[in-house]
Amino acid sequence: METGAAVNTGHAAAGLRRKKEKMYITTIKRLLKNKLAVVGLVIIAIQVLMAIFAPWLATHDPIKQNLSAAELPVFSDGHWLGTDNYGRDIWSRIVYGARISLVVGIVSVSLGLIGGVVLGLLAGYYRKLDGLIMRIVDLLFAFPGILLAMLIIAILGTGLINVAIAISIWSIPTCARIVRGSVLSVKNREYILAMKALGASNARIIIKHILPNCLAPIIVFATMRMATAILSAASLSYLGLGAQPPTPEWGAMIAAGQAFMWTSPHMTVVPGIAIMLVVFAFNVVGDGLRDALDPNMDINQ
Amino acid sequence: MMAGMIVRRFFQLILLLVGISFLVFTSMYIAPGDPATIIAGPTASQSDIDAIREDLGLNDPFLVQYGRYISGVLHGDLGYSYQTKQPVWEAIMTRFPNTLKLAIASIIVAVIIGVVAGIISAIRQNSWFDVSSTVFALAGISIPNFWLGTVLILIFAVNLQLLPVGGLDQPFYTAEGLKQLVLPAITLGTGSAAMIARMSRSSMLEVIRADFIRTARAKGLRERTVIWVHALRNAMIPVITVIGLNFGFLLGGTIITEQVFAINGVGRLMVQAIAARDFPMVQGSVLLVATLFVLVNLIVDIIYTFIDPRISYD
Repeated sequence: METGAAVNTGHAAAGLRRKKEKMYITTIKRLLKNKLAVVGLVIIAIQVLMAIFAPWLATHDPIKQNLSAAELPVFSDGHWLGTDNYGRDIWSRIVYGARISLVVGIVSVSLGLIGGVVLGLLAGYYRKLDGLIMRIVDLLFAFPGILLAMLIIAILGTGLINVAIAISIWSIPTCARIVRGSVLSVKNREYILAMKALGASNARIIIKHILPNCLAPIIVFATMRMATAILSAASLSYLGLGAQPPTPEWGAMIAAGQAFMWTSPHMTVVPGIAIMLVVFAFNVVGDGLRDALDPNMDINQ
Repeated sequence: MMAGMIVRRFFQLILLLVGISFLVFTSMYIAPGDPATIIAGPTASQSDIDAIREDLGLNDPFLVQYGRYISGVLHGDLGYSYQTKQPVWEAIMTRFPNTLKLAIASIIVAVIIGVVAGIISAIRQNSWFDVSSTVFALAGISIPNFWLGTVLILIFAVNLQLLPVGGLDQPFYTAEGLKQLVLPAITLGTGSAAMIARMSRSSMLEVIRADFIRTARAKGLRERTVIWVHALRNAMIPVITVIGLNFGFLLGGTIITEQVFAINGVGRLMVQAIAARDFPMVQGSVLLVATLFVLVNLIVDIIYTFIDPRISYD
């Protein structure tokens, strides 16, 4: 009897796994049909490669000054994106900047997801905590995102790590709401009640049976959030609250370039294009994933 | 019904404002750096610092200090700047008109561009206009607005010399004042225009497929009347929420745009205050912007129920 049940669940689990794999494959297939999303994926892949292989791709030391080669225009000999006012090679700074923006994006989105998922799961699963947690979430929503980030930087002080933390906190309320909604929609389904009747612990039910149901909206949220996080980190660095000189951060590069707009516009234009491409890429991939994961959505909208 | 809803929302608002002020006050309370030491300056003796500390009531329990801050706020007293010794309220209020001007000009730009582009896209779905405006909308969301501002300055102020490089010191009803507003408003409004355009498009697409539109056409109404009177009114309901949300978003965005165009607004004040660890100034300006943000959202909610009586917030 007992072994029979085990075999049955084993069968069911294998079937479920196959079904899941199939689901992933259809999602990926649908995503690849979306031309914009493919463009986005290519841009993201390039950024990731630049971030990993920065020391090999960079032609110069990104922070080494060379005043005899200052403010060279684009397509100069040996500096195809030109140099800045200190003679630093802009291509090399862009390459290292890709690493910074990717890392700050990943760190802040991950921290935000951890906070948001935990709060959302607790609020959705435990009625007693729901009121309190959701009031805190409402309170966080009462701040325009950049303001919340600035308030946190005011406490922690300026710097890239603090920027990542500040931006992560700003992701928590939205993420918590998404997760809570998903939990509430599955909490009273029969299979969850059955797990409870079988004596499964709350932790087991939440992690093994409720969390996987929230995965699709979380993935879409995280992708879109990468765009916002990278843009916000660049904005905060532009304001002088994030990366400090001589760090090759894209937003800080634009801020530094502004003073040389008359003589060397490429100092501001080039890093701006880099930010725009990356943010655009995460936005369209996020859009594409949302459509791919939810077949009922009208693609025209 | 309506009155009851407004009263209920009003109480929620007060609770939310208490929460905001508590969060802002607590943040500054736990922030490193002793206010008394900062005020006293580097040459002060320990007894001077202790005197200032006693004077400011910094030895009182946390809640007493919070209560004192709130009662000050209610009387228009936000404390004094560590840096300039100026009253915070005064410093904010001299800069606030610029921020408001910028936010309003930007929302006007965003609504006009966004709604018009969205509607034309919807009624000419898949035309070249639709495709290019969709691409522009995507670009608009992805462009860092500080960079857009810089590039606009480069083109229109540096190269063509049509518009001023920055500043916002002339009254808005003069030609000079309007000229100063153009580039900042476009810079700040573009992202919101893109979001409003996307929303208007999808909402309009949904409405023009509805039965009542077919009926209106069947009655023999002119296409223009059908679209701009019958369809628009219904399509605008979700768009208004997006506009409301964007107004709040714009209030946050002014922080960056003010920096690009060297506009003396609350946002720039805040950035300078954070860099200088001028806590009363940070506290006051964050409190003001967050309060405005919440108020705008409340107003949007109320307008929403007026436009669409089906919605209730029970």
